Amino acid sequence: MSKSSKYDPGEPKTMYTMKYLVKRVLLYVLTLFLAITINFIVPRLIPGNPIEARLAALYRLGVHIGGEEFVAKYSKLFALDQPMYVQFFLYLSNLIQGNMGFSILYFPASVMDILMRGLPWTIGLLSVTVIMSFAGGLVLGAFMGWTNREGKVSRWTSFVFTIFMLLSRFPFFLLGMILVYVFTYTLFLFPYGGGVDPQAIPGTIEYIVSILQHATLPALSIVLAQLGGWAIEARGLMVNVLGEDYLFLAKAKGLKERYIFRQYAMKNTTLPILTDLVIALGSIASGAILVEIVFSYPGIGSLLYMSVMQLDYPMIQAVSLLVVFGVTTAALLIDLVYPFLDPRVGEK
Amino acid sequence: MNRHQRLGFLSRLKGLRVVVENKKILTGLCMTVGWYIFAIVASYLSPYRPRTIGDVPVNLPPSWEHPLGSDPLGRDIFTQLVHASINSMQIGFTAGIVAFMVATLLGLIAGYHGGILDSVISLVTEIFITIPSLAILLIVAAVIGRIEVITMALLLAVFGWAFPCKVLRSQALILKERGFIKLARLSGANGLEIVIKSILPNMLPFLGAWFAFVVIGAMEAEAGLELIGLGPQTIVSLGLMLNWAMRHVAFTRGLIHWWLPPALVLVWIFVGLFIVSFGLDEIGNPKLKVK
Amino acid sequence: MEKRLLEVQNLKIYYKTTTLPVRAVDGVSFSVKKKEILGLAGESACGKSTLASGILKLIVPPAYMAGGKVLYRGKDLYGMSEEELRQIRWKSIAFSPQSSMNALNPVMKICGQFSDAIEAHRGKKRKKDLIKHISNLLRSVALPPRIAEEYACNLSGGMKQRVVIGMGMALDPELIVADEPTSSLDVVVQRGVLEMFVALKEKQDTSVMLVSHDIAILAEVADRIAIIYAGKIMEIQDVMGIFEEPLHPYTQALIDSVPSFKTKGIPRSIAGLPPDLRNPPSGCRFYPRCYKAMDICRKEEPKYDEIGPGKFVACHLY
Repeated sequence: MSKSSKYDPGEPKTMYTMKYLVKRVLLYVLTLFLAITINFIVPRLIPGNPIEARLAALYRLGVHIGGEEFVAKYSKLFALDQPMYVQFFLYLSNLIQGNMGFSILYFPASVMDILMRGLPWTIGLLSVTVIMSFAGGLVLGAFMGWTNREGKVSRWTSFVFTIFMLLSRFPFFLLGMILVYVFTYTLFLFPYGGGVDPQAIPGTIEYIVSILQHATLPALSIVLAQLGGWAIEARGLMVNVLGEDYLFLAKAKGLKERYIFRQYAMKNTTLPILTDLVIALGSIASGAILVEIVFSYPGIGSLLYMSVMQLDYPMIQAVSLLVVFGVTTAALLIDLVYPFLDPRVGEK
Repeated sequence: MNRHQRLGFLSRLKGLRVVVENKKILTGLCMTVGWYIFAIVASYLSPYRPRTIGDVPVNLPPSWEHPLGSDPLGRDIFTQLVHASINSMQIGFTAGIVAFMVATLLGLIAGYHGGILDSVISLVTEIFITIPSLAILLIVAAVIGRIEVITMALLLAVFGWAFPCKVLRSQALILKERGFIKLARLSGANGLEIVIKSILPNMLPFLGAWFAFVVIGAMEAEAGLELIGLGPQTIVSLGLMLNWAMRHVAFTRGLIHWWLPPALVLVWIFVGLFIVSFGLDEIGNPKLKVK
Repeated sequence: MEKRLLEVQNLKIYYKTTTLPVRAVDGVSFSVKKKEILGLAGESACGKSTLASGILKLIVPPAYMAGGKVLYRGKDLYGMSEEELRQIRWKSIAFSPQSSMNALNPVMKICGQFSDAIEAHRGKKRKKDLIKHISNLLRSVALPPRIAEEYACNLSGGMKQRVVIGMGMALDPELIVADEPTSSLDVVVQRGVLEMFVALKEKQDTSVMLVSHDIAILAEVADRIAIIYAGKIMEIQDVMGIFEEPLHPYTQALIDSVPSFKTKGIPRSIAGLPPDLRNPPSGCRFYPRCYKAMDICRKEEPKYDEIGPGKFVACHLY
């Protein structure tokens, strides 16, 4: 028997092809390249030596940093006296090595060091909140759609739906402000500012509890605002799926309701929504940054804010680049895994 | 008008009626436009100036004369609020219109014509969608320094066009395969005619819903940038009010009359626009009705 | 009585609208015996599909059941619990939908969609047995067994239709309700499917309720044919009787509209359009288009009666 007629289902047969892989990776590389280039070009649009211009701007704000030494070091590092393409090449090679320069504000600390201090906080906050909102919203929304499939919508669903709709319109930071006012200022339930109590000793239970306490409100702002949106979308998708012929046939086959919900309804609802997650990652990241600023949470967002306030250009560039990198990489990962889940995608 | 033209006109009127009768659209429009009109009227009636420091005594609590009190720099908050509302909405709508027109143009071209043009446009769109706009906006805004209002609106538009463009393109692709479009092509209508007469009218609820989304997105991005302090400092906007509030640590000082109103107005406008878009969605797909 | 597998009594299925309900199936009565193929013929939008899905209570809002009974082996399918009905579905009565373009779950392999029906009614089976069973089913609808490994998006319309028919046979049901099973197939495959139905009847005593607008197909395989028009049954007779001596004028018109080798020229079509089922005309529903219409046909609705052994008709001529 030739291989094609032996059909012991071992390998999942997908549409995964080289074409799809190449296309996705190409997009990824192009996007990053574009971001990096913008990052490179924009500061250099200002006439004159960018370092000196920055120093002048800072001087106006009343900030003095070792002038000559700083300019000299930077000029040499970035070869500002050399033609543009040499600079660009240098910039790229530095970047690959992870060298993003020195922070003006925390000089002589390197940008990388400071980033590493803030990164874990942001990653922790983002990963937990995104997973919670997405998964939670998906399940809730699908459930809302499924339980109202006979056509008439229950009052409970209407109510929840309206709440979700209202909540989903709040930008994360607005919700954060309100939560701060209610829970921190008025009720003294949660702390404000920072990621952990500075007096807590790392490794102790107290430390962990403190982390959770400080993270609750920021996380809540993100989750409450996001969950509704996903739920509404999931419900819409579920409504569409319920009208499909294959669901009709599933019922005709006499399959159990729970089974139909899992294998026919849920699966077909989850997959399209996953692609939307990829697209939403950008705005979620942006929103999270603003939330950190509102809460003075010690992540990348607050770092960005302070850099902007102090015109710490290397820092600003680095954070922006990092965010772009993070989002596009996450998107790429999801895109690469997707064809394994959905047999229709993969570009045959 | 001959009989056919009259029928077409009547059916379009009927279409308008469906739109107006839809409770959601009506509610949403009232919320948004209503507030806008209120703000304009109030801004004319108010004797105070929103940005002049020392205009009124500092830190006044809310009263009849000053419905929202005054801020630590001596400006009437209510006046700030109404002026800010007008400005924010105008920036948002301008950016929204620009972004939407670009999105419609590119999306329809890409979807309908296909070919190389489609591939190029699609690629560019994908890139713009993936890049988190705030990051790039921050770089640009921070470096450029003082931004004019127009620059701001354009910047917002730059990142607002991508997603609607993608959606509109796929919608155009779907419609392109529909029977009546193919028929139009066969009967000799050229591309532009088909797009304007046949495709666009069928996408109207869809377009309207997405326009509302684009405006929301632009206003949200603007508020975000202003919050960080990167927007045009020359006019008052809702985000700028929040930025001032944050700088003066209004949250923990309990100056709720300063930061809550702009926040609520933002949400009010967003919800209003969202309801409109949701209502338009329901017109397109009546199965989605919830209430 | 004991030979009657399925008995439909005065079934009414209406569609809710913002105005009057659409009376898609308006008091339909017939029965299906064991080991017979009953054809249900009628033009488009006469209610046949609604009727077909209504038998297994598969109607979707805005459709609703407005009266009547569907008795399977004496038990009313509309009166029993959901669980009882679920067990009857597919195992005793299978359904083959009209359009299979979207009838298959896009994210499940074909073999999975066979096995879930099998296992839902017969409990878990060994993989080897399942594979064998599915291969046989696929072969019987002229499909290569490797199709089981495919996803629906890789199959053509005709293949999907055959898969769905194959799925219907998976549990050896006593009755298969097939709604236009051959519409999207080429004539060769059509023949195969029809022959398969006949083989099922002969070898496994399976009954088939075959719904089709193509009376020629029904002529080939059906034992009895029911003619439905505007939501009501006009005539039921055995196949020979219907073609040799059609009782109802509509039946005659249907037969005349089929081109044949014997008569030359353009076949006669039926003038007019089917009535609006929200507001059906008083009297006989076929009255406006009937070439044998009489005065009484306009005023009074003809009673549906058995005028001879196995011959049912609703017409004032009798």
